[in-house]
Amino acid sequence: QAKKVRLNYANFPPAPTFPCVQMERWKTEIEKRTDGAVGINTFPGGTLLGAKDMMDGVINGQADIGCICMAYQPGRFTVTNATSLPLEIPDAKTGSLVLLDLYNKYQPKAFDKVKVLTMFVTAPANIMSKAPVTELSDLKGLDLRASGGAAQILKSWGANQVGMPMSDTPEALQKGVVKGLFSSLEVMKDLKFAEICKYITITDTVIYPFAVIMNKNAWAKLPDDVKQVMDGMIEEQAAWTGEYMDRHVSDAIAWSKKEHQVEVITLSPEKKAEWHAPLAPITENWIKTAEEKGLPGDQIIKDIKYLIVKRTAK
Amino acid sequence: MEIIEKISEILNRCAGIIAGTILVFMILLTMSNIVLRRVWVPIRGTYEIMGFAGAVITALAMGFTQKRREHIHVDILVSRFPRSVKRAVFAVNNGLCTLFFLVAAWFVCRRGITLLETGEVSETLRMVYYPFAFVVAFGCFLLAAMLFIDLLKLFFQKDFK
Amino acid sequence: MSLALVGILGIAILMLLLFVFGMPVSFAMALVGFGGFSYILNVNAGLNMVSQEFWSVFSNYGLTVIPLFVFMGQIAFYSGVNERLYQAAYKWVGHIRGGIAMATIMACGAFAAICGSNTATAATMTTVAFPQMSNFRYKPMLSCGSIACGSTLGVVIPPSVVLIIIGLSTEQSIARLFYGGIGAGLLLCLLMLLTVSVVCRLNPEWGPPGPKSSFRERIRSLSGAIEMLILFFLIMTGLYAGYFTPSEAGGAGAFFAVVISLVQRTLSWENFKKAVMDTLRVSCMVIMLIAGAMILGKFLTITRIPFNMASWVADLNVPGPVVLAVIFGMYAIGGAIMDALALLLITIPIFFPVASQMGCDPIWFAVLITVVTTLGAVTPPVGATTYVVAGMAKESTLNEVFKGVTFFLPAYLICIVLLMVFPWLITFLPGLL
Ligand code: NA
Ligand code: NA
Repeated sequence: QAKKVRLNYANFPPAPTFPCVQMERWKTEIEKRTDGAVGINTFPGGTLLGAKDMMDGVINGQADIGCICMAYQPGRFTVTNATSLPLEIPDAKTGSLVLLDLYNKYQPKAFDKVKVLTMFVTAPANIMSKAPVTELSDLKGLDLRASGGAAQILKSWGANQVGMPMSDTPEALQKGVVKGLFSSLEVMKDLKFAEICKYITITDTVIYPFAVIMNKNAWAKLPDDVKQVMDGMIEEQAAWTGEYMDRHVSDAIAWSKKEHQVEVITLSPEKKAEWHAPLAPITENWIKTAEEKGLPGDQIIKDIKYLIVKRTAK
Repeated sequence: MEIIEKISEILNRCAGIIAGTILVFMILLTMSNIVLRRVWVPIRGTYEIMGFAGAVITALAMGFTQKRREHIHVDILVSRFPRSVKRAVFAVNNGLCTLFFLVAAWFVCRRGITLLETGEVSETLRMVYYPFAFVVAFGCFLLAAMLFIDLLKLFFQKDFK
Repeated sequence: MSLALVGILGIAILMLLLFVFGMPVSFAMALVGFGGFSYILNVNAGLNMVSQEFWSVFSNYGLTVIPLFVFMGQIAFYSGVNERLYQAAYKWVGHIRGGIAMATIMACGAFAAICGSNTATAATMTTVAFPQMSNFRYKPMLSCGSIACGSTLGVVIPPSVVLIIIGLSTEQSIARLFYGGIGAGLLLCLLMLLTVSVVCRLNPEWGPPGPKSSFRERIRSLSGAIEMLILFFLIMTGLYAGYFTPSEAGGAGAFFAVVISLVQRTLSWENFKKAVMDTLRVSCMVIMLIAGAMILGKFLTITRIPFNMASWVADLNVPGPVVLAVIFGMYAIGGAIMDALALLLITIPIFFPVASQMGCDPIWFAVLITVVTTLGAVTPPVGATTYVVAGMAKESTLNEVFKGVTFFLPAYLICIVLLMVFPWLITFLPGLL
């Protein structure tokens, strides 16, 4: 019997969050499908590598496998980060498959030094607030906690993006330092924001792309049959994670409605168009920047839009 | 020896002035953000700038903090050693640490180069931030230099305490 | 060599470097962390880990509270605010044996209600309290012990970074956790006050009582404390009215401190510069300690000792209370060799389900392990709070500080036992929510 391979898999958010749930699922499946030829040690919660250290940490062999959120490193993953533009990706499953297709088509240089094991995205970011937000005018001057990636979108709507660590957010909301937050909705239940934010406004504007990457040397050392199993799971894992995320979000919404009487506000198609109009320059700017870097920006956006339609239809 | 001392003195004084100014700036920035958020709009990217400013002041302070022997150490046993053993222990400590921080400086520098090459920018302000990594590398280098000067003194100065 | 053995050897070498070679604590932790990590993986990985930790600790937004709070303390010191505050306190409680030490512990508790970091509390309170306690001829050992242990209250009394981290990684309401922390924090504070009282009864010269002041003298002394009270009032109001977050409170506090001393004309330009330079050195020292502890933590993480210990405990086939006792014991030992936050991040996902399965109240369990890991902040070899106090109180050695801390260990133990026997001490307040 061949010697058992041990791999260290680092992840940055706390253990119960979806990137770690998909990590544990992947670990279990790989260990099962390789008949125990591979054993995987998981390190959740940034215990081995933090979010921004992940990419270089995996390249340098501090972990064999790592999960990165590309939106945390703007400028570095230009092609794949295009999925986080306001292009109306409807849900996490579609988004995950679109991201993976995009990666496969362009094989971006940013990933030259690693092996990609899967990619997936968060569910779309939406507004959670203490006071109802039904009109664009309600957003004027509203302080919302959001990560830097959403800053441009909130600015275009006239809202204020406030950057602060997630750990400061519950208190800041309670005390009114911020009036709401802009992120995917599972936090309503997971971080109990439903206790404070009684309104959700569905905008479905932006997702955050993730990738699971592996150190090239560690990959090269794997036996061929193991490589085959891992390659075979790339798309399956992306779809599984997207589905899990979408289910998790709808559970969180149902829970928030039931336990905390949270009201969900949806925008009419006309209003949606009105909300999306001011966001167009963000995509245009991205195209300009991408083309300066020698990337076919326009084509990438067209591809994403086409892929969204194609993957949604399935 | 005296020239080296002089250079380190000047470097540390400059580092102190810059770091001190940045500390005052951090206080004013926090306060302005608190006030402006209330009466108008928050200052974009405060969170990021504070982090980078914090990195700069800590890094620049590394040299003169070491110079004043501010880093706490346990001297329960060492203080009882005979003079020669004390000198040997001191030499080993300083030698190891000099080497360590020199290499650390080099690798933090490489980290800055990676940030530069990959074109990474900060999340909110979308500005390049590799220069701050170079400042941290410089801080590690200053610390290594201070440790090394102490090591030299051990060998070249007779009146070592 | 098995990974666990490498880990244990690493700790042994750390002890050697610290206690025999007298290497600065932060450097020794970094060096051992680097060596161990490189041994297990490779030197390139080790060096990259070190450079990443330096960069991410130095540029961590949460840690900017350290220079800001320290600066607030330095301004209070150089403008003489803290001296006048302590003169007032002396008039009120100076005649009680150890009264000033008790007042200091309560001041630490009050400061804890502002600041979520125990190193920031320790650095600020040492500046504010230590010279004054020496003035009143308190034994440095007792002063340092009171400050070091009092500062750990910052983690139990909300806001608390540790409770937030537990809340985020177990998906519990942080508001309920904070309410749970209040009961435990007050109990721990009370037991520390009792400790001072008992210690000073046994050694009367450690906290010598002063003359009793008349009521009029006391009232008049309050004018000296007015600046500190205003400062405290401004920060508390700002925090609770939602003008700023706990992370911003340091900046606001430093700003108010400067403004107050400018209005009072008690701060010269010369002293302002000294305050700035002292702040830079102290925060550099503190942040280097944290960076060292983080690097060491990465090494212990990659040995998987904390994971394996936790799974071993989780699989123990013994009655519930024994499992709990083993868990708490593990946290006490783990807290001694590892940074509390890193330890919690690793072990919470494993222990938490075990505790819930045994039917423990999650808030109770979370607050109790916070108290237990708090103990780790003062115990060697990785006891950041103790090192900070020793590093700043120049007149006392680390040895003295550790001795001083030892007197307070029974207070922690009694607190833990009481919380275990009477869970309602923790769960009562959150139950009202
Ligand atoms: Na606190
Ligand atoms: Na400790």
